[in-house]
Amino acid sequence: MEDLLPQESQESTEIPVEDLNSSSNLALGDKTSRKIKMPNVSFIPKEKILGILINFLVPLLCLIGCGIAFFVFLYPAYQEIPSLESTLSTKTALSSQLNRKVSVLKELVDFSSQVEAYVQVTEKALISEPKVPELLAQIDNMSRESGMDVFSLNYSQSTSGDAPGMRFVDVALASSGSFESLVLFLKSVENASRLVVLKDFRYSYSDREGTRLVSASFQLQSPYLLVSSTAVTDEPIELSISSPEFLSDMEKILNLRQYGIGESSAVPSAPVSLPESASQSPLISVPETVPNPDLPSELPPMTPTEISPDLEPVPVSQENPL
Amino acid sequence: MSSYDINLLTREEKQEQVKTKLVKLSSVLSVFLLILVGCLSFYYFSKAQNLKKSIKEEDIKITSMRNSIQEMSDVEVSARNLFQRYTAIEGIFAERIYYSFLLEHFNSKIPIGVTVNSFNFRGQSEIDISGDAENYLLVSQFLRNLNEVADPQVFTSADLTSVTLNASDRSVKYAIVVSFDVESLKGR
Repeated sequence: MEDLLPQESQESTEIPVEDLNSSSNLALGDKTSRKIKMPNVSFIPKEKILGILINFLVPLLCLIGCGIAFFVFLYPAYQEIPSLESTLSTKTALSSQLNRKVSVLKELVDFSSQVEAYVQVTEKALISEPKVPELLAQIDNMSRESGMDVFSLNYSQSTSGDAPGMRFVDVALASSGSFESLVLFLKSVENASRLVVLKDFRYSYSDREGTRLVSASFQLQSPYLLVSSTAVTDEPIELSISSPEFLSDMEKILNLRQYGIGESSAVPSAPVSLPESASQSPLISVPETVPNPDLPSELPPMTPTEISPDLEPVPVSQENPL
Repeated sequence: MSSYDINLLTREEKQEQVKTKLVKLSSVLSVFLLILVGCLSFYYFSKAQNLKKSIKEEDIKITSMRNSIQEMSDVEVSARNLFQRYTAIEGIFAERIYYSFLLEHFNSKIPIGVTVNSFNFRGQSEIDISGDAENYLLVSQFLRNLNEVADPQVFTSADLTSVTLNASDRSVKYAIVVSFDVESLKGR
């Protein structure tokens, strides 16, 4: 390999040390002129370099190509791919979510009349406002229809419920009747079209005019919910109007009985009929006119309000005893 | 046996040979490296390009679907309201305790000759019951009825807390605490 080096590099140039470090020499008092051999690297002939470059032209070009490919294409792409994959998976998920939402909305548009009926029915079951007079009238109707005499009926606004926006009206009822009428009343409460929840009750027997009567006190709650949703494009709609659970619950709601003001006898709400071919439409068919009794502006006078001496007053408080 | 160096090439020629070999080897290696890097670059670059293309396609789809959804915003609001109300009603139905069933079930357990004078709930799953019976055996029968295994098992236990004999008419006053399973009264 020595031969590959230029000839001149093997030669040496003699430089007097005096010239390099004359002051130190003077200090030591050494006046002797010493010669040091230094390799001469300043002259490498261009022909030799050119020769090397020509000999290694292909490897050099290849290495340059490798470098360009690596820094221009490979490395940026390699760095970019994970974030691109992540973005793509997010976009794909969003796309499929929106796709599902579009199909749900199209289904809702196709069955808009049924959806409207469902909205009305659910609004009747879980109303937006307290509507206390109507509620008291409903409970009074239920009680009388079951064969119980109402002694007292009180209400108070209650706490909020589990669901956001849900609140309750608390009602305390004292009434008397037979055991059968008590059971009938409880069933009426469980099947009322405006939802009423029995939180607590107690009863005792008392003899009145030779007959054995049940004197009962109830603590009832009626929920109401104000909903005000907004359209959020990217959020999915979880409602599936063709799901069996939804249909089953809707059928249950449709079968609830109305006990409105001025209705001397409760009649079942809108009759429910399943479609002739369930395969054609998964929805429960609802008559176009869902009974929506117009409520009179004034309530009928509330009858008996005297409290039986046998009954304990029903406390209506903010706290639920159960 | 001794080996002899029979390479008669001059020193310069030998150096030339080594030089040629070196150039050849480095050329081959560098070309191979170039091909390798080129292939990898092509693979990753094309993969990145494909991903970008897919993202662009998804963006177009998403924009189109968003437009469709926004056109049906009224339906969406209505559906959301319905869902919110429906969910609340579903929750009420699921948590509702059917006391009518409890009373009917309880009534079926009362033997003839036993009367219930008071029925009060104590806590979430207990009932205080007091009443009269014609004799002790009927009270015992009542307790057995309440404790018997049934489907659904509404009453989990019934304990007699007090019993008093009324000497005048030989009747018995009793007080019982009955525990019931709340879950068995839900979702009926």
